[in-house]
Amino acid sequence: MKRGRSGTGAVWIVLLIVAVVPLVVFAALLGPDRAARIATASFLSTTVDGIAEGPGPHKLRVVDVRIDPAHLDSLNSDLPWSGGRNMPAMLVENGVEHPAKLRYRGIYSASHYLGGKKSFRLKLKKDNPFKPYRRLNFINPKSFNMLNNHMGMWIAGRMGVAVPWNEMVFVRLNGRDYGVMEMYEQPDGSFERVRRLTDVEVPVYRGDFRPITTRELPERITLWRDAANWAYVSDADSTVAAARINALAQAIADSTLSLAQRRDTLARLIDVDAFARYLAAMLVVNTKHMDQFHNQWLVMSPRTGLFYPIFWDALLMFPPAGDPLYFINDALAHWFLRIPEWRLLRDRYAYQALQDLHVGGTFTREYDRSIDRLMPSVIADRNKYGHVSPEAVDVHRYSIGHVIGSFVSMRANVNGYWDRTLARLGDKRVQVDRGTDLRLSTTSEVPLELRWRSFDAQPPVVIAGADTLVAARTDGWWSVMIHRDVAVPEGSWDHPFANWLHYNVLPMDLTVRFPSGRVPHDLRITNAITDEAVDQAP
Amino acid sequence: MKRSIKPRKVGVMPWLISLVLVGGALVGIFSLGHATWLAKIPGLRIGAAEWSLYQRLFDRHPAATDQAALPILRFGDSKEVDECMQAQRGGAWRTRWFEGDGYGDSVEVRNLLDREGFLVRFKKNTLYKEQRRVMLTPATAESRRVAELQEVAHELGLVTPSLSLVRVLSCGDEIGIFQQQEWVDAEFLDNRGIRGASLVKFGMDPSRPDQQFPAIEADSAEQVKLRGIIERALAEAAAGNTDMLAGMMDERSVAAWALMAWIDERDLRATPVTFTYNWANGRFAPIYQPPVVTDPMGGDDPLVHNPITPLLKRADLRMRFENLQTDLAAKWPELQQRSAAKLAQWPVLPGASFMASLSASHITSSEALAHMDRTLLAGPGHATFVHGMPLPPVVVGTGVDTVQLARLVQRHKLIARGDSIIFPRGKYMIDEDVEFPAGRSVLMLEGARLFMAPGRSMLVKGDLYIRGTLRNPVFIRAQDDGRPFGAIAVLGGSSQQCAISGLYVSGGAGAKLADIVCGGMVTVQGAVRTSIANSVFQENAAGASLLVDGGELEMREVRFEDAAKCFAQLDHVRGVLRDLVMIGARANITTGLRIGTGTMAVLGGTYTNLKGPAVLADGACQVLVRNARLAQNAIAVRSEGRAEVHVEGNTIDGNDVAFATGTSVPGDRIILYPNRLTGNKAERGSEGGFKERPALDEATVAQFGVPFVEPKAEAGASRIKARR
Repeated sequence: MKRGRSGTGAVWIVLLIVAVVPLVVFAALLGPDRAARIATASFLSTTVDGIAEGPGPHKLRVVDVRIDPAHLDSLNSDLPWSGGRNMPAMLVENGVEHPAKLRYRGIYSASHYLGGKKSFRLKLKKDNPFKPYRRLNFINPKSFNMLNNHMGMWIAGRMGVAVPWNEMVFVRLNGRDYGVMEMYEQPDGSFERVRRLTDVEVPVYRGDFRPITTRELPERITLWRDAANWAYVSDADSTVAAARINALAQAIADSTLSLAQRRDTLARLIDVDAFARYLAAMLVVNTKHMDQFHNQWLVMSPRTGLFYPIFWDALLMFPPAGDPLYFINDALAHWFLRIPEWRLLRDRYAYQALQDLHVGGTFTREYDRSIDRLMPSVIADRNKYGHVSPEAVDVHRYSIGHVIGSFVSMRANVNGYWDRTLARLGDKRVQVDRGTDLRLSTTSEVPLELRWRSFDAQPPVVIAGADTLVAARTDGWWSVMIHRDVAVPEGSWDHPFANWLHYNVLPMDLTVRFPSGRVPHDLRITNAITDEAVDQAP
Repeated sequence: MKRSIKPRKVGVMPWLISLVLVGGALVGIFSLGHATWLAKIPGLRIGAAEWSLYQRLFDRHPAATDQAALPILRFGDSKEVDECMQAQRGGAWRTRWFEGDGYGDSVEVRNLLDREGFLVRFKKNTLYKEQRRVMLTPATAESRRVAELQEVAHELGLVTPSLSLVRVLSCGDEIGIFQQQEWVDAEFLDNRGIRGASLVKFGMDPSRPDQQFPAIEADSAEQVKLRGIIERALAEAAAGNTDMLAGMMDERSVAAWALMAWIDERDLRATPVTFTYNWANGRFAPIYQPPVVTDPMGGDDPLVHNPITPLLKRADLRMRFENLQTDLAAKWPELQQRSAAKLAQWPVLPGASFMASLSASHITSSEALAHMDRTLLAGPGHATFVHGMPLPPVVVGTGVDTVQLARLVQRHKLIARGDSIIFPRGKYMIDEDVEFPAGRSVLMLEGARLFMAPGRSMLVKGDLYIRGTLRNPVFIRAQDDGRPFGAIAVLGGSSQQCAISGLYVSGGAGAKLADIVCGGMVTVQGAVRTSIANSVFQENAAGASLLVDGGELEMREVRFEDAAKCFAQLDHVRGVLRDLVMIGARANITTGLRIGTGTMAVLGGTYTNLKGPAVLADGACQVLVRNARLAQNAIAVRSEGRAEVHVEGNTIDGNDVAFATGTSVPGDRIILYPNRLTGNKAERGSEGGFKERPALDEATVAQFGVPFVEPKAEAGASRIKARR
């Protein structure tokens, strides 16, 4: 029996044309890579997400926000310019409506306002379900894994750096799922009061892009060029704080100060320990996101009268180019990292953190715990929007496949980077020649500590290269620190206001002369960051 | 045989029958059933919340009659907003008219922020049942569990907020049954006789920057000092040395709290823990509050450095914890019965008894300690915040105590055994003020005779146990007749206990100790539980022969006699007094039993020859006077303030006035049931405030925590009489 032609072949051909022609057109218009990324995201978000099984109950906090659709339309009318007005809204918790003000936030990254999940800020009354917090940002996560900022903040907080409250939440807007967002405390004068440290406001400065007043992005300003570039965001009396931030800006801009003068001046204005932790966290998180122009906060501690920083918008693995060990994120870091003792303090904090997070597996456990909490909400989230290509405007819906893939690549990136950084900080390769004098040669980047025993009552003086070092006594040992020389890459503008520079550690070839005229027989040479003995080649 | 391929038509009747059968079965199960039955079916684990949900749908059990007996709280509208209470928006306070239990005034109401319900704030100068704030949360099956947990916590000696069921009417409409819970604040401490203490709240969630330092309710200087002490102790604990932390924590209540946290299956990160910090003895003690969020699966998430879990690594605390587990498991059946009687009003709520479903093996499980053994983390940014914080040097509290104590023991030839200081049989001349520190128990054994020098006092900050007998009592007397000593005082931080039996005491005048006025010859303040039996309180010059302020009290067969201003003054106490004998001296105007705020059952006993009131109820107390003899007193029963006295089955004879009320506050102050009244000069000393009822009902008696039918009284009282 001969079967009649069904016509299915023709249908398939038509479908193929319908599928292929747009791809070809978009590939021609956008370029093949961009078109492929957009098409893949679109395809996967409708197919893979569509067949995802029931996600189970949320493990994240569910935030239920209501706003009059007319207000929402008004905010959406001319984005990004129209989103900055506060509109009346409601936060619903336990069936109770809590009055709030809602506005969109974020104008410099399109992921904040393009797509179906727009970042917003809620301003709440004093007695609200999030008490003691009153101003909260709800950010569309910037990466597919949704966790990179959250984990970056977690790392910094664990390293002892002041961070805002940061929690992953699932947002519902006007009764419909809006999706997973990152809830983020907006710091202000209540920063320490919220943390139960004071009953009053404390001086807080924000270093960020200027507020937008026209339909144009304002010119970027280098924050440390002038203390007035820092916005005061507190109701606390600002007299002392203003004087101190002025002094700080002057100390940073003044190029005539010697290193010792600058160190002593800065030490009276900033909390050196807090900044060492902050810069260490930046190295561990591997981010360049806090820069000369934005994402900076300073709080004046009522306990010390010194400024300490708040880690903000961390973006785990948002690295500066070239994997530098000493990335200069801003003008203050330019000077801070020039001071050898402070650089060492930073390195030691970074090394301790990597031992805990990486070697001890703390990061992996927290990352797994965070993924476990996030997953039911990610599966329920059919509104995942993000940059699907490097083009800023390509904010499109992405899929659970992107999320899972990004979890894996983030883990690999973190492990790879931390392996490399640990190896650099823990480098023990030093060529040591012991003769009348000690000769140290190395291309590693670490400072060294020399320790020996002697019965000297007075601190021995050691000549290291051109420097005269006075030994210090610790636990019966005399010791001197051999710091490394650093310099910006050749041809760079060696200036605090230069953007996104880094220091290179110069190779060491140094002769050390001891007061006794010979190298102490029990001399120990250790990596000053890890306190481990160096490999004394040859 | 060939089956017809025509589908059989299902008519209306089969549908109806099936609906009725299935629906009826569901209604039957959830109206009459208990969650525990289903829990016994293997593989079927039904939680309280799940049960509650289905029961809300299907429970048609008639409960209206029980609900009618619940107190009613009425809230009116507000001038500030149009909405009635149940529709009130946001977390702001709104002023509304309130009426409840004889109280009527404008109050402030706001929504709770962490759960469904309301917080009610009363005016400072017109407290509601001595409470400034109460929390109202909708009553569910969970509420009954909460009430039972409170009972268990109470049994373990923890301080807990009081809890009851009420009906709430808003703008005239009933909005349901609510659980009324006392708010933990300064008035809460006052109500328990805890003086000179601050409240300190610790969170345990390491992801919350706001929970890394405690919230301290004290002035700013005290905050700085306390924060420093806590920070230092926690830093030491983080470094593996818990000695300082152990020295500043009330270990018994820490162990009890930890056991409760195991039993109530709380998510340790979700509900902060409130502690009292007693400035006199420098100790923290946790207050038990039911959890907001439970985590039956027992997550092992890390916690922020806190003052409880690190201590559970110490061998002594682990032993204490395990002993508590064993003790609680042993008395579990008895506790179940007692709790069932005490919580007589709670079965109006759906759901099964939580205590019935909890096994002793769960209580004694070895997993309990492992559950608390969590990774501890510093809060986000902690190192930065601690920089510049004034931290005190490491101090191990017990070290200082030990030196003083050794001197005391040597001087008075006492016996120090473990944590106990023992006064064995013998004569002790106390010529100086003696203070026993917190964490030490003082035991006076039979035959111990203490002679106190004029004006000298004994202060016990730990437990006090006086273990005399009628044959071999413990005597406490003044060294010189006519020159009174100060006071014998127990000042509790919250978890202290005081048990007295076989004590003969006389000759005290009261004193101010540790900046606290101890107005009684024997003063017990802030102890969680006090029991006094077979003892005699005699002539003294103090404000009261016995003063108990706060906690739970049980007295049995105690005799008060001779000259005194007041025999027993009881404030903020929930208790039962059985078979007391109070005999006034002819020359003195003596008040017999003065009850401030609290709930007191006065059962049996004789109150005679008192030139003041035999029973004086003051403040906002609830008193039941039953089966007592009140004879030849100036006034037999007097009710003042907002007090409410139920009087039933008493013999009231030969008094000048049988009943008197003295208050401008409207309401029923004395509720009269059948009594035997003979030979009184006047039956009522005032016009208003009386209400007569034909019979005492079981629900009223249950409020006082005593059985409706008392077991037959022993002849103990007559034994004391005979000895006299």
